[in-house]
Amino acid sequence: MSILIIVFLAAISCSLLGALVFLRREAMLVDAISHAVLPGIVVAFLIVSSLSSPFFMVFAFLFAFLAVMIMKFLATRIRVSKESVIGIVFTAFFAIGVLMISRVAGNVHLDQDAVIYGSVEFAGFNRLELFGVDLGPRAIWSLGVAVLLNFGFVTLFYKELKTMIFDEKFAVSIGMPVRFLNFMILFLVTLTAVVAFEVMGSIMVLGLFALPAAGGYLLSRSLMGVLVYAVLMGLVGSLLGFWWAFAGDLSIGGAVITVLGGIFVMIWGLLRFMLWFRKG
Amino acid sequence: MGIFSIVNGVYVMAGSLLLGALGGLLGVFAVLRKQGLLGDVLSHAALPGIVLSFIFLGEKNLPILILGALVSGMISALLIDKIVASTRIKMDGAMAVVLSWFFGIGILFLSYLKRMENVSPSGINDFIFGQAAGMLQLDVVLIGTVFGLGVLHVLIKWRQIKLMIFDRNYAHVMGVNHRFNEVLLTVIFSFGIVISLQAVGVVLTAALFITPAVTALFLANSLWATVLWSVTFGMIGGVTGAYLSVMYRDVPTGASIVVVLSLIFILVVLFSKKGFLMKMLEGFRYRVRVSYENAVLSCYRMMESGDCPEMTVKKDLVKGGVLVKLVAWRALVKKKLVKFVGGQWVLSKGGLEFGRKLIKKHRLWEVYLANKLSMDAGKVHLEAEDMEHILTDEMVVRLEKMLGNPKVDPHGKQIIS
Repeated sequence: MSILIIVFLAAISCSLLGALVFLRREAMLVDAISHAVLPGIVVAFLIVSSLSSPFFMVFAFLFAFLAVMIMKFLATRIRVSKESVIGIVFTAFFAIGVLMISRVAGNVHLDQDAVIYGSVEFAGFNRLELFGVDLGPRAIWSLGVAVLLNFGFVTLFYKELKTMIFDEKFAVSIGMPVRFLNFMILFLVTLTAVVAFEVMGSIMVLGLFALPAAGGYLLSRSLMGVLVYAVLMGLVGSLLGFWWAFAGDLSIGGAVITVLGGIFVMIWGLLRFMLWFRKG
Repeated sequence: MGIFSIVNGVYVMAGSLLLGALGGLLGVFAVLRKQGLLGDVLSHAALPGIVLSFIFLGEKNLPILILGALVSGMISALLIDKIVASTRIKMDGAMAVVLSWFFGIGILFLSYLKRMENVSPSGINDFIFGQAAGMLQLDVVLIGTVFGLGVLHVLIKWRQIKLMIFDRNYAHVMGVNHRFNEVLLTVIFSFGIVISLQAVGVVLTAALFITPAVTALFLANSLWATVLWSVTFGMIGGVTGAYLSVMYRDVPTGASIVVVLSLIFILVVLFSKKGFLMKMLEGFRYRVRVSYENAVLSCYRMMESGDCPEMTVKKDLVKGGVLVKLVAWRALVKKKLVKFVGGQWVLSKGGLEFGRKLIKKHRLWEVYLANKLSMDAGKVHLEAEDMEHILTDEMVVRLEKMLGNPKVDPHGKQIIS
């Protein structure tokens, strides 16, 4: 049961933020960030050797921020397309992370499998204890915080975000805190990716960000619409995926992503069919 | 223990060398066609195909696995094309959607496979994380074949490909069948990606096709040179990375190859002739030169106007940032433009000559601006402030001739010839 809650929370937090990122056409940036945090996570692990520390988050964010800064720097200096720059930077970060893991594998309980596959199945056993009191699975707490932060951010800055997505230069010109908002988006994406990564694995996190957002984007033309549809789709997809995985003893992350992709294709096909039907 | 004492050491080294060359070659065209991240999508999207062939065969059969990977990679590429063509979703969104979906499906299949009793999925981890140490003769032959095909295609269609990269529409007008060439290039590219998976792994395969190509593009000016550099970097990265990973058993090959490739990129970007550090150094040198030339000029001017007939050079004549001032003063001393006489620094004979030359450049340029370009005499001084550092001796001679050997500048100051 607690696993279902964990998956729900991951879906809500990722799809909320995913909608923003998707509309800003930075979906592949999430992919890059979710990989670039790896060396940060390893470093934090080496220092505190446990995942239940804010330390962990700080290092992950530092590395994600560093990666994004390097990308921005290179994008203005090197005359190749932006996506090639993304490709260079995140693979370099990830490779360093993998090397670090392999060199210190003996001391650290962190292996490559967990990075790629995630381990939502075991998240229920990893409990948060404070002053000796068992407060339930830690992932519920960390993802809960991510949901609250993302929800708060979107509601608080809804108008600004809407303007910014529509036209960033205009938003700057009417005095909106665009730099701050960009920083916040980067920060929240990193935070959400790191918290969700633990349960979903680094690649399927991208699916939780991109798939509901893409579905919502097909269904609605307003930011509110995309956000609502994305979260709905995230919830439906994770419920069905969880049920499927539970019934068939399969990977929960894989099942959730597979179902979400299926929903996306269904929405896409349905819209095509309606278009064709209306035209006669 | 040498690397060749390992049974398949020769194959590992040869395979990694060819793999690097392959990535370097195909990467250039992928990056130039803005398809760098497509490699990332293809490598992730290959997973369902790999796992499915495992499920059906129950064992590791390389050609079939590669076929499966190729088919699912191709389907993903087609799907991206379709999404971009028929919805409002743009390229990057479509890539993110397809990449994560296919990978999720692959993971789902994998969890199913792990439950099957007669199958051991151990070979699959090689595809996800990459392990060159397991390379066999067959792998090397396969990689070599794809590389050969790539080289052949590029050589035969060189002109068409070049035209296509440069301007698709123009190529079309010129009668180049770019659709065919593009599809063929993409097919070879997918082949290359799929075949690299085993050694480099899902996440890092993209780097094999992006990093050397971008490094080469930064360095070279022509397509030929870019391709050659890219292949060279790829080979160095492949061999060094594979060597390290075989020598230190627990280091995954993909990661060590990519780290080496990234290091090459960093070195080139910083230290090559066009590199950031060299550019910074160049700018610094120019600022230093401007700084000491200005110091000589202001000293010369003071002498000319009689403010300072003994030509004392105070250190505060040298302007600029702390470091610039320091180096500029050292340059003045080293070039013997100033000398230490009677407890103070004064302009040397060479310095005096140098100042005369500079002031001539300055004033000639003022004359040119005022007479030939009809600029306001009040404005010309500031413009000439920059030009005096740029004009060469030959330009001065020609300028003087063109202006008819003027004797005074627009402010009435003397021009000594």
